[in-house]
Amino acid sequence: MSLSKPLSARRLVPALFPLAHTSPASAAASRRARRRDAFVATPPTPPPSPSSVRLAEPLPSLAPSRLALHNRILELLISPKSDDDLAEAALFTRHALHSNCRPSSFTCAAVLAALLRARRLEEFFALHRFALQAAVPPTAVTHALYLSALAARGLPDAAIHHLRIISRPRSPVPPSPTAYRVVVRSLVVDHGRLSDGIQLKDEMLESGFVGPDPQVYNILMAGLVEAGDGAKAVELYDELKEKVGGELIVDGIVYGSLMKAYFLMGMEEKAMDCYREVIGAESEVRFDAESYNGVVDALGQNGRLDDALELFEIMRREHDPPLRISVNVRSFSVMVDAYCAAGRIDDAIAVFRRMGECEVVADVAAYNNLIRHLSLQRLVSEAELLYKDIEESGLKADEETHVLLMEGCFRVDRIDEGINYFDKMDELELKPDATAYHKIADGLIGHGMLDKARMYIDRMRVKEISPSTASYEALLKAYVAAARLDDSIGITKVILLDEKVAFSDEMKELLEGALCGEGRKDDITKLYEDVEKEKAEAAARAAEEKERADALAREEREKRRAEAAAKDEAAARASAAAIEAILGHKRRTENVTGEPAPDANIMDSEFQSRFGITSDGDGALQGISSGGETKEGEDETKGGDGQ
Amino acid sequence: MAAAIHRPLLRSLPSSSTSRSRSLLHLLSRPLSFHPSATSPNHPQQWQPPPPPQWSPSPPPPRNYQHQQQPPPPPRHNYGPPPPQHQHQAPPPPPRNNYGPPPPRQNYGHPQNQAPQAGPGELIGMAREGRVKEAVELLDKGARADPHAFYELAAACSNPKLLEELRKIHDFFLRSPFRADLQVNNKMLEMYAKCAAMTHARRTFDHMPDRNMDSWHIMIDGYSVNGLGDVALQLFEEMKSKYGITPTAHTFLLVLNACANSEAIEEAFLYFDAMSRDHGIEPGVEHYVGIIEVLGKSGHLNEAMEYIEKLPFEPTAMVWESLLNLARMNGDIDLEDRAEELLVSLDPTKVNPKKLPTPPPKRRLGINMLDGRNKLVEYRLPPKIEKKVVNEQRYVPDTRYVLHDIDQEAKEQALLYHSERLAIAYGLISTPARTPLRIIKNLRICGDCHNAIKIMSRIVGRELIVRDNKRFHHFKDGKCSCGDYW
Repeated sequence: MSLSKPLSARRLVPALFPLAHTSPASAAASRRARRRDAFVATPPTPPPSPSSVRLAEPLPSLAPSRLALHNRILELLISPKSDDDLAEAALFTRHALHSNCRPSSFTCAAVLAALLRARRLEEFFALHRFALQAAVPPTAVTHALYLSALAARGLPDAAIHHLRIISRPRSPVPPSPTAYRVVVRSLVVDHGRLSDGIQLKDEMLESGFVGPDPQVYNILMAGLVEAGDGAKAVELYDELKEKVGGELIVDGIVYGSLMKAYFLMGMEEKAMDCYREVIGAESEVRFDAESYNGVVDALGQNGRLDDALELFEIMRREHDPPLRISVNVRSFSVMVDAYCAAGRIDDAIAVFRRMGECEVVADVAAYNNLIRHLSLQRLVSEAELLYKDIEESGLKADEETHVLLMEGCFRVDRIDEGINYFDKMDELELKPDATAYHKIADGLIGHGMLDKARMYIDRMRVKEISPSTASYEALLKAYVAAARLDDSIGITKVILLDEKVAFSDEMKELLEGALCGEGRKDDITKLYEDVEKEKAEAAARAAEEKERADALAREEREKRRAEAAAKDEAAARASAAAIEAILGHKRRTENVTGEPAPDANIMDSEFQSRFGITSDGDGALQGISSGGETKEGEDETKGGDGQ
Repeated sequence: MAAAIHRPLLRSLPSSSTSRSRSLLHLLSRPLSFHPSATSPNHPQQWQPPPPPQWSPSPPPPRNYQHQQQPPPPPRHNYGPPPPQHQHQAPPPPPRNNYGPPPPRQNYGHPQNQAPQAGPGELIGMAREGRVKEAVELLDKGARADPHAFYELAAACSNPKLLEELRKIHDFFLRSPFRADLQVNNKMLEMYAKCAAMTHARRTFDHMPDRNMDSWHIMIDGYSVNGLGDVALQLFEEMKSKYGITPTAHTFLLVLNACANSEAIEEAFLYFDAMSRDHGIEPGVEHYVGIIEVLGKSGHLNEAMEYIEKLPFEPTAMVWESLLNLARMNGDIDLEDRAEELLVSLDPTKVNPKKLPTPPPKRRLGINMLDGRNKLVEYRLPPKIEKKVVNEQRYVPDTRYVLHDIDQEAKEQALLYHSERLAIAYGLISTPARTPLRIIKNLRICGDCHNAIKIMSRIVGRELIVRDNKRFHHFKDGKCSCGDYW
């Protein structure tokens, strides 16, 4: 071990160091100002003032019993004996929140992490909300997990909103760089919203909590390269360099994207200079597997297969699991890509087979990658071999595998087999999404099988997957091209009725042009009228349905009210009879003793009315008591709802 | 109205980590960093205190007192029974492993009946036996004590429950002629910190006639162990600026620990840089581990991992062990497995044979950039915000059961204080999760409480058994055994 070359802490982790403070005193002052209204206390201790914010209790101040609870729950999470163990851990955490041994913020975060890891998002959100309501203060980890869950659910706007809340200037628990990475990645990679991602990066730098994070920059640069804007990507790199003080960026993650950007701009020399500078033996840049993969990909995709091979050799030499991991599954996928880009498919398959040498286990994504290349090269039989391999190696082929194989079959005109692969997904309980359906519909349209394509689009609607605009438009275009005008009007109607897609002007012109060409101009207006009518009908139907449901509920309520009234009446009658019997008995005994009771009848009726006891048909009093009972009935339903 | 709680005897939580021997408890039981041997040579020592936990034959042997097994020192924050506090005539509990008849104790009788004043030897003996209360009584009766005895007595008060005793001992010490003794004063600081009484520690510290580096260290560490990392940092700043004391490598370790406990990441980095720049102290592995703990304890686990990957030296077992504990603390299963794998590869003695394999995650958390390649971008109208009919379940106060003539809000307020609710609330916060509660009430439970308790039983997952003067109600999973007959 050599401590001889100590790097400044700032250079090692620029992400965590916004360089906002130069002395510990000012850093402390800003931290204290942020936490002026914060307090640390275990509930049920109330906050000192209503506006103060509860902070997580630091670990050393937790009682041993709470640490024991933490360990007990971790045990359930780490080695679950059944699927229910995770649910049990979540439920136990929830129940323990109202007990003498409350789970700490750490325990809640551990359970949340496990739920997210198992992709049980419903339970995740439920527990997160419950813990917040039970005054478990969120930590940086909780925030990052919540943002990841929002990203996984496909709610980037909610994630941005939450991130902005926690990065406000006086936020007591500032976001971590991970939080920004998760949200920016979701924006750029999943939703293609590059400008929003760049805006979020600027906010990150402004907030003063997180410094220039190379990973965030890398996601943005990769997104820009993908979008074909190399100049902007290089601009981002220069900005990052300036932010860390004009020095070399130590994190190797950015260099892959940077090289791709240079290649994209046609500056091959510059890209190779950069490569030689950072990869050299005396370079200070730290590379992990992911960073290496980026560089190999940049070389391989741009016709530098020899350099890529050389670097791959270096990576394999450095690879020394478990101490140093410089090769992972993605490295092999990237190498497969590089070989395929050079047209050497056989070598690609060979390098894929050599995965075991580096103690790397292939995953479905790696298989999918190779299958994609094979099916692009029309080597469907090879791809089918790999498909069998997946099963043999104990993995499960996913939706993408099937769609890729289907596309391969379509490419070599083996239509039926392709359809078979698609239909196989139902048997395997896989759920193809709108994109998969679009691909099969598109493929079928390409082979002129319009009816079959229409069938799949209809099936999609049955399965409650909303078809994308692209699928509709492809079909409409095909119908128009095949001059099947009635069908094209039919599909247009479907498009117009589907509230989730827009009917673009381009399509409108296409359809109108086709219809006008055939001299069926009236059909267009008729079509629009029909659609309007149907929409109105649907709205009317919905209103009617609502009306009916309301009526049903009302009827139910009436019925229950009547029942309650009847019950009450019966009870009143019974008790009146009983009292009558007692009083009669009393009167009789009094008569026996020979003492007349002149006021007995008066007293009786007074007694009865005072207690609301009446003989049959005394409307007024009956009304009052039945009113009371109805309220009771409502209360019962309310109680039932309230459970 | 009155309601009483009957709850079964508390069963303590089953012993934790049966499948994993590792436990977070060690993070708590980290000893306070006080090294008697590390005292600076400027302060001449009158006597050398033996290391407290060591059980060595004491210099002044107690008269004919047979040493039994020393009861183990009670752990911090103990919720169990208080440490054995024998009456002075009561013999200490006989050893469990009875090797023979208990030794005779003729000479061990009422101390106050013996010599007119007990000496320091006796006090030390008692302190080592953990009989602090008796020792304090002896002091009350005028027993003589020397610095060593005070030291031992203070060391015996390692439990917050013994804070009163510690204060009394401290009072006696302040009245004694050795009140300026540095060793005893430091011990007092340390024990106040262990008893979670930092205000007393601070007062003692402020009034100490002279302080050495250890005093500062004990105070800084005491603050951060008691969750007051911020105060610790303030004290450190004071030490540097006001007193001009040069911090040592150990001081910086404590400061980093304080930063970890108050999530002061920036300060930690600035102190780390200042260490070598201003004070010429080259950071050691433990300082790097300190930074890792700052990151991890503030909830930045990924960043801690990245920091480790960029360390200017090969990470040692110590680094991975720290990361392992941090991952365990934050519940990051994958990182924990990785850290454990690395730790075991570097130090095979740390292997945990009981560990079961972790199941694979459902899907990678991070999204591969490659996966996007096969993606079709689609454009849609913004989705309509669908108001899903959420079957919202909530408590609605039913004010018909309040018979006073007050306004609606006051009625709802009045419902909150029905005794059965208060009893359940108290029962919940004083019993472990999932223990049934038994409530007895001398009046009829009101309909609103009936509804409220049904909801409560569902939320807290407990069986609530409420008896009013009519019947028993077993509330479970949001239902009542009376079938809402009320």
